[in-house]
Amino acid sequence: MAALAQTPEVNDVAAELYCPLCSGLTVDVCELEVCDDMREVIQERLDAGESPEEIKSYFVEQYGQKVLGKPSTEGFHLTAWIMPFIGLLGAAMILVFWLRNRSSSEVVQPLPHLSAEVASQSDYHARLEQELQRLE
Amino acid sequence: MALEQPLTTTQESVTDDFSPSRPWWFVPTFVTVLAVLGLLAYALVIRDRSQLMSGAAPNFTLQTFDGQSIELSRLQGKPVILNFWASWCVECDKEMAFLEQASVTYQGEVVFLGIDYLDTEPKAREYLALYGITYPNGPDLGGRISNDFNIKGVPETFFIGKDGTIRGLKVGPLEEAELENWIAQLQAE
Repeated sequence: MAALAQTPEVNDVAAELYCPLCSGLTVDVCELEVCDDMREVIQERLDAGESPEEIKSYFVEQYGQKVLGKPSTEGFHLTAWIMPFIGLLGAAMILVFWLRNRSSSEVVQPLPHLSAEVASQSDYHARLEQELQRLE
Repeated sequence: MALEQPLTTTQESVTDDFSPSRPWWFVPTFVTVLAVLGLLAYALVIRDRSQLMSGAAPNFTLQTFDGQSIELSRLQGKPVILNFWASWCVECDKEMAFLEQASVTYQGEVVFLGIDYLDTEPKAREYLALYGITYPNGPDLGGRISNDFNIKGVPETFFIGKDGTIRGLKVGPLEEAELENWIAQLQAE
């Protein structure tokens, strides 16, 4: 097996690429043969004057977006990009519902003990008063 | 009793005015749970998608290492032996020599295509030169072909009939006699 990343420059590029065969390991630390081969290709392309971005684009063309450690933007994988926003939206909705409910509760809670001043503004309280008067 | 009746009505009125029929968290929680369950179900379906053993072979255009462009659907009329391999694949070594031999023997009658899976071009070219492979081979750019055929690894070989449908699949290295049998079967159809 070939040596790991030969130069810091190779390492820098390899650290931003993920092994296409195993999950979660970047090319600078993965010991699979394909990653050795990828480091060699990085070295050759750096020597040929290509920029790190050009080299990364080359590998994306070869292996797809997964080599960047990012989900694809096609098909089902698109959900990985969309779901965080839907999650945030859901969380915001829950927060809004909760806040509205809390403020409603704050209004509702004192109703059984309404003061005469507030109660006079309430149809409910007026009806309650009528009932109480009838009782008396 | 006259006392209880109106008060009960009043209490119901309070309930109607201030308490929703469902708790406040019901709708967002229901939607979130439904979305998560839907995604999980879909992910399970995708993961357990069975390998292609029959049906129309997914079409693709292979850009070969020697610059040809080969579209699978244009090969109808001849059987196709579609072999997925990689230079780092130890098991692939076992079949490359007789795949090449068969491609020469059945030249013009059977089409042999090699798809290089998750490999680097320099190593792939070295590998092809090592085994003297002359039939068309090319990289699976972006992993699209292997994804369409849903392969699980290399080597894998698909046997495609003259009508473009998949007749069989071999997972793992082929045996020479097995390849001969498949070729005979595909030619006889």
